[in-house]
Parts: sequence; structure tokens; C-alpha cells
Amino acid sequence: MLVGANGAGKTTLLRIIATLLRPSSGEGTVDGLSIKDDGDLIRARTAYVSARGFVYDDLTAAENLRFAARLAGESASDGHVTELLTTVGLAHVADQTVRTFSTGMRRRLALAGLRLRPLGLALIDEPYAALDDEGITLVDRLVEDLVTDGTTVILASHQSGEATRRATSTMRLDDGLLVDTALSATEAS
Amino acid sequence: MSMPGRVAAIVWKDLLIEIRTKASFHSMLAFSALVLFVFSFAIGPDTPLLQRIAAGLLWVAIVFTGLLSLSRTYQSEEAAGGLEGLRMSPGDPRAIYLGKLAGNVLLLLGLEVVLFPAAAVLFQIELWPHALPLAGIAVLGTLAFSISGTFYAALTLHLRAREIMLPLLLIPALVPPLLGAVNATQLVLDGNPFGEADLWVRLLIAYDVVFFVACTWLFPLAVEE
Repeated sequence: MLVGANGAGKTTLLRIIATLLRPSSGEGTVDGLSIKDDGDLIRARTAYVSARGFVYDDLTAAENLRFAARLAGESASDGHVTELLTTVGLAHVADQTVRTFSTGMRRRLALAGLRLRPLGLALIDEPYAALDDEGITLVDRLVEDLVTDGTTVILASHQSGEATRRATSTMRLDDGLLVDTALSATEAS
Repeated sequence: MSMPGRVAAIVWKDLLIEIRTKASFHSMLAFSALVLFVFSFAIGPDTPLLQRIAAGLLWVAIVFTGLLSLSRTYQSEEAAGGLEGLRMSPGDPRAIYLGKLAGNVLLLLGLEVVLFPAAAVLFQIELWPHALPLAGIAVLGTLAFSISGTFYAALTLHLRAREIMLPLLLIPALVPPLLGAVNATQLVLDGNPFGEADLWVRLLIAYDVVFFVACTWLFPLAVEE
């Protein structure tokens, strides 16, 4: 769990880990791979969901997932897409264009994309933003499922959910610097 | 997934959005028709003069309209949160460039299917006897414009003054293929009396090959932040 005030550098750090942003100095590795030189290899097993999400307004929810799957080299059958949309409570609007969605619904759709392919690392920026209680529960379940499948999940948020409480470790950023790292009670026990 | 599969996915997505919104094609059609009409009316009923400069006017309309289309190349990505979604997908990022390039080429060729006959009517030129060589020149010229344009559109994506920077950077790079396309088109319309069109066609082919390789190779650097 990555916490910190607005502007602390949470998103920047996530984007650097995702190899979307080249660090101006220093070095970093993800699973032994250099974030500077091994971008393709890191991205092959990493997903990043930004605060805005990556969904297209003029595609339907199902089309957005199918496109994301094709881009990732996965074949998404209608059944699989419906199953994913059901997971995030959007199956009833599968054929509606995203333009008609609320911010929370867009967020859910973006998060559903995390289940399209096997991942080693999932980076989620502000997962609880714009979500109602049901949405927060869905995110927590999604994170739990990812962790159960062996995916390391890094959440950046200033809001609390069950996932926050269950986090293996929490890191606090302040003005771009890591100021505090603490193991959670679960991990400590 | 293979590179062609990812390219096809991007083309499918962009065309589907274009078919639904018709945002680019309709404005391109209206703009290019306006350019042709304005030139036609400005020059007046001097048919021989119109016929002599028809190729130039046609390619000016295509380039102006193409610039309109290029500025929208990455627009749908920005609305969806930037290029990051595409860049995060596993595999070679060059698939993004190739997908966007293919989309631009298809859109411009679709426009030219309407534009060439419209120019033939306005400028009283005969297209049909030269349909095949003209189609070849149109494809080569459109490829040249789109290869450079799609690359420069990505390069200027994060600039604040990108609407100004894109034509400033792109137009100088388009001088050689534009000269080639205009001269080859005009020579073909004139019946290619001395076989000179071949030289200009070769220039277009050389430009397409060199710039395609260079732009494809450099694309990951152009979108890196």
C-alpha cells in the first residue's frame, strides 16, 4: 500500500515502476528486471490502472474489454467478458457505450481489465476514487482474487478500504521521498 | 499476440470509434470540398489554367485535410487517459504506430475516393483513362504523408503548442513527397508525354521506404516520457 498526500509522488512512482516514465536518476528493478532497460519484459507481466482508467467513451463496456484483451494477446470469449463484467457489477450495461457511464462505473470497468491476463504485478492508482460502498467492496474482492492468484498488488490511495487494512506493507511518500515503511499487523503476526 | 494482431486490434478500435462518431471523416470531407471549391471559384472559368494546376490544388486539399486528421490521431487515446493504456500493453510499442498509421491511411484513402472525382468535375479533368496510375500515386503520396504525419503527431503529443508545432515540423518533411506526388499526378493527367512521371514515382517509393523504417524504429523514443 502506497500512501501519501496529494502531490506526494504516488502516481509518479507507480508510473516509473510500470516503465511508463523513465526515472531522471537512480535505478530500480521489478522481479530482477531493470525498469530502465527491460520495459518490454516488465510490461508483459504488469498492469497499471491509472486514476482516470483506460476506457474509450465510444466503445461499449464489452468492446473495451475485448480490445484490451486483444491488445494483450489474450482471446476474450463472450462468456469470459460477461463473467468479468459480472465481477464488477456491470453485466447489465455490457452493450452500452461508456459515454453513458458514471465515473464510478468507468472505474469498475477499468479495474475489470486486471483480470484479462495472468499478472505478476498490478499497480492501481486511487482504486477507491469515485466508488460507492458496493464499488469499494468489489475492489477489495478483486484485489483479494489477484493476490490469491499470486499477483503482487500495489495500491496508491489516500482512502481506506479492506485492502488497505489487509495490506502486507504500507509505504508513506512525502514530496517524492519514502518517509515510512511499516509491515501490517497481519504480516507481523 | 503477434504484432499484426495488435496492429489489427488498434485499427479495429479506431475505425469503430470513427464509424460511430464520424468525427474525423465528415469534417475532413467538408474541409477538403471547401478548399477545392474556393480555389475553383477564385481562379474562375479558365479551364486550361485549372487543368494545368489541378494536381497541385488536389494535393494541397489532401495535405490540409490530412493535417486536420492527424491532429485527431491520438485524440481518442487522450480522452481515454493518454497513450499509457496502449503503452502498457505487452509487446513492441511500435504496434501503436503501425496501427495508427494504418488507420490514417485508410481514412485518407477513403476521403480521396470522393475527392478525386470531385476534382475531376470541378476542374474538368479526365480521370478514368488514367485511373490505375493515379490510384498508385494516390496510395504512395498518402503513405508518405501518413508515415511522417503519424510519427510527428506522436512526437508533438505532449507539447503545449502541438497544434502549431505539428505543421511546423511536418510540412518541411513533406516537401519531397509533395513535389513527387504533384508532379507525378500532373504528368499522368497530361498523358505522361516524356515518361518523367516514373522519376517522381521512384522518389515517392524511396521516401516511403526510408521514412517508414526510420519512423517505425524511432517511435518508442518519440512516445517515451
